[in-house]
Amino acid sequence: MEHNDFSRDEFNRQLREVEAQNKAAMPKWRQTLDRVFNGGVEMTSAEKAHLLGIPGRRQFFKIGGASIAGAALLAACGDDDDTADTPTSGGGADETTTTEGGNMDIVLANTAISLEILAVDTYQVAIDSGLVTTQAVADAATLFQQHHQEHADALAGVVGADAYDQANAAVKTALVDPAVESAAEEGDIIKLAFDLETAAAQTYVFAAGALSTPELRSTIMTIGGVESRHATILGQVAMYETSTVFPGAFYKSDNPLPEGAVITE
Amino acid sequence: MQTSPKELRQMAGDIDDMHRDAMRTFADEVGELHFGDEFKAGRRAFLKKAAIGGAAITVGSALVPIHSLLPGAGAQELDDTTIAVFAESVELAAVEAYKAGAPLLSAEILPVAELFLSHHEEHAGAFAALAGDAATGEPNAALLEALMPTISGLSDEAGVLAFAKDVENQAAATYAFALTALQSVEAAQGTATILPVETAHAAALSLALGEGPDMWFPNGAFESADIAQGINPADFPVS
Repeated sequence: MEHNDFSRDEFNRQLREVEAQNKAAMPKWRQTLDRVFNGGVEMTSAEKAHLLGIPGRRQFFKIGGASIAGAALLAACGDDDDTADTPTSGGGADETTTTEGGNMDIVLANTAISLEILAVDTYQVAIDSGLVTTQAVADAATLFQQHHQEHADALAGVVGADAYDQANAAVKTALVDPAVESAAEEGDIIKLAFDLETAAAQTYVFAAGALSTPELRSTIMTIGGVESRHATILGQVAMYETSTVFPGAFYKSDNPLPEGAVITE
Repeated sequence: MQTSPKELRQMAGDIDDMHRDAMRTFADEVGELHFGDEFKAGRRAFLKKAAIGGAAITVGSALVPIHSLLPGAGAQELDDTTIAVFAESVELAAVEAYKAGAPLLSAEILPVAELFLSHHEEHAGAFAALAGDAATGEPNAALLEALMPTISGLSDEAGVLAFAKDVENQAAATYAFALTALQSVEAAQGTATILPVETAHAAALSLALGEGPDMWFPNGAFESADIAQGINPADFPVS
């Protein structure tokens, strides 16, 4: 795989400009929710505020600001009728890669692959750490690791020859390495896995608003839904507060990844 | 993958243009979202077709709708508003299901069930917002009717939890299926924010039942997008 020779800083700068304009315009999904406020749906002020994310759910993994992937969301926001340029029925990856939307699809899919490989590696570190002392937790870690490998394999199959094949270095540096280094007991390992699964699920919700075809959006969420199950089970096993495991009625949809985590090569 | 700086700048420019265009036409798009005659005509046709096969429903101990007999019930035939209207009705039916089971729940479990119920209320509100004037504010009557024998047969907490888990899993499959059809990105992303909450509910309910990994992940490493495992709008048309 060859590296692009463009300036990532310049590209990021341009995309941040676009994202700023988008923020000013407000996503239409939230605008439609205005009907909740103006219509006949009975909700408390707190519920309405929560619905709009005003109080903010816990930021499990919010490190960076705008990123390249932010532009993918903008691309999607600005492309309601994506049937014009991209296939919407039976559209496989081979077709989408021939379109501009397909380019961003590959970026997102490769980012997802890198997260899945990181998850596989992280679970292996957890299993090998000697800190996991509960057999049920060890069994769950092995199963979840297997799921992530299946996800990586499936996504690589979608991308094809350009599939990324490395763990996400930026996320590893920002989240995994510090947590592994400081881990002293099983609970620390579970916490790391919980955060990683939650971040992965949120990334896929974000991607669902950016991928160019309905089929790809569905596909990514068939994975995102399982990451959410992983996180829930880990949270329940660790006996986290209900508000931690179920922070709200809606998964956050903003990009949770740090700068540099989006795979553009 | 090779991409030149020029191509990338072009992409960013195109993104910007598309975004600006979308914002310019926002009012029109909201109008389309709320639809008028176009939606009504499409919805009538959908309901007419759905009614043909609507009677072919059986519900066992768990919610297992028969796969639609309608030749044209594929996801691609459903427009965004029709899906939003249907999803709203499913969420409100889930609310009713939780309410029906609540008296059988222990003090320990009840708050969690009430939390999940509130989530479904919020989901219904979100889908109603998306459906606009087409929103009904009513639970899916056909679905509730199909569920009633199961609900009436509930006699203990485990039964309620198992039933709720099935509903949550089916809701998740329904939304994965819906995502194969939704054309509007905001509708797709909104649905995507709901799907993993349903799977989280299902996983928690499975744990509460003392089940093992096979039931935590009923479809293995991937959620199902097969409407045969979900709640089929053709089987449960919104009346």
